[in-house]
Order: sequence, then C-alpha cells, then structure tokens
Amino acid sequence: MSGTHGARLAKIFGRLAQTLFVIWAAATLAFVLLRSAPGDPYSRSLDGFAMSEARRVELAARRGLNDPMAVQYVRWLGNAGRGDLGWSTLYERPVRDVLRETLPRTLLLMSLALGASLLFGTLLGAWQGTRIGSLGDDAASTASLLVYSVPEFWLALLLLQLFAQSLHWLPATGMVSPEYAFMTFGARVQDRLEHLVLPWMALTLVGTAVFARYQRSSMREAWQEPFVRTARAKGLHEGGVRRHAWRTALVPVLTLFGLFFPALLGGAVFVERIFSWPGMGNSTVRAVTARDYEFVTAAVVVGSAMTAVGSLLADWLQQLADPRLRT
Amino acid sequence: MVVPLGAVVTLLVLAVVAPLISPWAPNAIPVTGVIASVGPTLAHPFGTDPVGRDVLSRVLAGARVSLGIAVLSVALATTLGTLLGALAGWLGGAVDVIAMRLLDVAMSVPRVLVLLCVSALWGALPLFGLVILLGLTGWYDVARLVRGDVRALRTRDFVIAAQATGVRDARIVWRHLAPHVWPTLVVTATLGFAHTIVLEAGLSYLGLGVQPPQASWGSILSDGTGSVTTRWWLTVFPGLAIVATVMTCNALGDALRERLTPGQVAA
Repeated sequence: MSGTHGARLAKIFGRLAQTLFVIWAAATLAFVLLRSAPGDPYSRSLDGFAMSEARRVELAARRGLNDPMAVQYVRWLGNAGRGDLGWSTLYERPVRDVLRETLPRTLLLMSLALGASLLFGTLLGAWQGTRIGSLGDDAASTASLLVYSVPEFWLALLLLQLFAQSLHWLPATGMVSPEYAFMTFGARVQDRLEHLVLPWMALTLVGTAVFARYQRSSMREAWQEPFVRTARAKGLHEGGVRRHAWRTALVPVLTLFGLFFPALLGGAVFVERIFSWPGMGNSTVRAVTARDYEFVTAAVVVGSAMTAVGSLLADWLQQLADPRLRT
Repeated sequence: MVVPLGAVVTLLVLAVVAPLISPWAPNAIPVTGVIASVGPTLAHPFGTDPVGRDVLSRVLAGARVSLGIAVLSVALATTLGTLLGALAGWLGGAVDVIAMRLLDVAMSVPRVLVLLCVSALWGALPLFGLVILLGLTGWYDVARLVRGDVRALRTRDFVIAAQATGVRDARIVWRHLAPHVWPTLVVTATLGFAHTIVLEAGLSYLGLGVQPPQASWGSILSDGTGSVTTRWWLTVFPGLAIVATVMTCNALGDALRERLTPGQVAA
C-alpha cells in the first residue's frame, strides 16, 4: 500500500517539476526574445514627446538595461524566484501590483466563458450525437460550424455595434460605469453584470461551438458502442442510457477543456481590447507596444502557467470521468 | 466534400485573378471629388473607406494578401513540423525526449502572445516576415501528430520487414510511412490554414500585421475602427470575407477528416 502511495507521490512531484521546467524555459525564451529586439522601453516615449538621448540612457541605466544580457537575466531570475517580477515601465508600478489588479478580471471573464461554453457545448453536442443526420442535428452542426469560423474579435465588434451602439441595451466598454462610485449596492451589481454580458457572450458563443463540435463526434462514437445496446437490452430507460453514453463521451471533451486554455487566453486578448476590459490581455497588448519588457515577460509566465494548469486540470478531470486512468 | 472543395478553389481563383476583376485600384485615393467614406452604391458595392478607396477592390486585393500569407506560412509550418516530428518519432530515445520537452515549452506560450511580441517589437514586418513568423509558430501540432503516427508505425510488421530486407531508413520513411501520415497532414494543414487566416486578420486589425497602404482583411477592419456604427461596411464586408474563407476551410477539413481518417475523433 505504502509502495503505491510512494509511487503516486513521485509521479505528482515529477509532474510538478516538469511543469516548473516548462514555465522557466518559456520565461527564459521570452526574456531573450524581448531583449534581443531592437530598442528598449525608453526608445519611444508613449505620449509622443521625443526624449533626449542623454535622458534615455540615464533612465535605461537606472533600470539596468545597459548591462550585458546575462547579468540582467541572472538578476531577473533571482528576483522572480523571490516573487518579485520587476518594474513595469509602462504603468510605473511593480509588475506584481499590475498583475494583482488585472489578472483577476481576466480570470473572471475567462472562467465564466469557459464554464458556460463547456455546459452549453456538451449539452448541445450530446443531444446532437444521439440523433446524427436528423434535421435538428444538421441545423445545429451548420450553426456551430458557422460560429466556430467567426473570429472572436469580429464577433465582438458586431456585438458591440448591435447591442451597445445601435440598440443601447448594454454598455459598450469598460468594467463599470463612470458613476459607479455613487451607486447603491444593487445598482452596482447590475452595472457590473451589464458590463460583463457582451465580452462574455463573444467568448462563450465561439467556445460553445468548439465544445459542441467535439462532443457531437465523441457522443456519436459512444452511442454505437456495445454497452449502449446492453444497457438498453437490460431495460434501462432512455435517459439512463444517454447518461451512460455521455459519461464515456465526455472524456475526450475534458482533454479539450484543458487544452482550450491558451486559445481562450488568445481570444481574451482581442475581446478585452475591443471592449476595453481592463484585464491582463488588454494590458499586455499595451505593454508589448510600449516595450515594457518585465511586464511582457511576466505575461508570458502567466500564460505558460495557465496552460500548465489547464493540462493538469485536463488530466485530473479525465481521471475523474474515466476510472481506468486512475493510478 | 465536393462543395467545400469547390468553394475553397473558387476563393483561391478569386484571389489570383483579383487584379483583373477589381473595379478600382485598391490603394488609389481619388484625386478629384469628395474624399470621404460613403456607403454601398452601384459604383462602390462595398462602399469606400475614410480616404475614399473602394472597399470591394480592397477586399479582393486583401484576399490575395491574406490567402497568400496563409498558404505560404502553412506550407512552411507543415514542412517543418513533418520533418521534426518524423525525426523525433523515428529516432526515438534522447532525441525524442528532448524534442518533446522543447515542444512542451513552445506550446505552453499562447501563440497570440508570441505573435504580438515579435510583430510589435521588430515593428512593421514585411509580408515575407509575417509568413516566416506565422510558419515558425504554427508547426507544433503537425510535429506532435506526425511524431505520434511515426512512433506507432515504426514497430509495425511491414516496417520491420522492410528493415530486415535492408531498405534504407530514408526510403522506409518516404515510401512506407508517408502514405499513412498524409491524411493527417492534409487535414491538419487545412484546419491550420483557417486558423492562420484568423490570426493574420487579428494581427493586422491591431496594426501589427500587414502594413498600410497594403490591404488585408484585418487592415480593412482596422480602417473601420472607431466608426463601426457610422461606417458599418468597413466592418461587415471584410469580416464576411474572413468568415466565408474560414468556414469553407473548416468544412473542407471536416469532410477530409471523415473521408481520410475514419475513426478519429474530431478536434
């Protein structure tokens, strides 16, 4: 018993070490890539005013940007190991503080979109998988192929145009209204929800199509398995048969759930940008154009960590759904 | 199968003959008359953009650029991915382990982030640079799939038999393994093509991809930002071009998968 326990612990630690290695390597690559690009954070001032060369060199020296790359790297790695991700030259605050503020906003948007996509997508796909070729299935397949093929940023632009600018049903940009500070508690909650709807919809519509397509084909396969016939032959009611098949068909979808994290993060970059959602994606685009090295490196670390979490989650969910994979 | 294939071929032909059928010069700013954005009219079915250029002509010219970039970068990514995947899968051992760990690292960074960084930091990439950039960040899936296929095949009897009769490795890979890998490659490349169109459009929309005055679908969209309500034609028409292309490619990819790789679950 203790033997298997030890093996299991070793496996978990191995996995953890591998994850940390991947994040470290990604961060190192980002570090080298950013620093070998021409220019530095001060080579183009954001407000459009030119900076004198002497001032530029002085500012760069203060941030240690004139040191050899290896020296900068060792310093950065040492600081990062202690949890200090550096200084954002764009926001003129520690990177960690900017992340602490923007990351939860992105995670809120992403998790709501991911949860809803998984729920709607698997329900639609499982429904389709048991009636392949029917009118309803064909209609749903065409619709999900269409939505799947729409770029998230274009969908976001259309939603913005339709619901915010033409119909005035929902606010166009930001996370709260300008008069948020003067609202009652109930009005604040409503205000926040209203601002969430459009960006959430842009991400969820596309996500639902992705999951539905996947779930449909895995359900279609499971539906033809012998155990489905057996269950039915033993007199299980149709709802029960469906639940049986669905449980098997869910396994490949859960893998996709984990692998979908980086794609969703990519989509969030554009959607946040269009709706001026003050999250990680939006601030990363700004930081990239401002050559804010340390913020962008941190963004790569966060992106890479999210991917790792996604794949760990995928494994865990798979084991939950499929007892054969448990060790 | 026939319908999406026909649609994709039609789109490619449209892109090739674009200069012949384009009613106006795509980058020409009118010298006389009003330089203003007007909605769809008979002379300009898709309207004109803020400096008076014909949007239909620009969408056609953009098709050349967007499809051209996608074709070339997917070709690069597929070649690279196949070579590296086959090498790792065939050689196995340390080469395979190292290649897989590197692939883990490469795949852990969201592709959009890499594209944003490189295109913003090196600034105004030429079209050729965009092709290289999209190609170099697009081979991971191909490599992973090819490696998996090759690994699964290399212990099969027909491969062992070929080895036993003294066939060279390169010939085994080319003559005996490649026919099994082709279907996966064709499907992956078709879907990758659709994805690349979206990525390029996104980058150009942010002003980081195709540079003005060159038209691409994303850059026309970006000409329309800030005026979505008043100049909807700048958002709707290039967007529909993207959706039509991506949808036909995805439909073709689905059809190819059903036809060529039965038994595989759709991605």
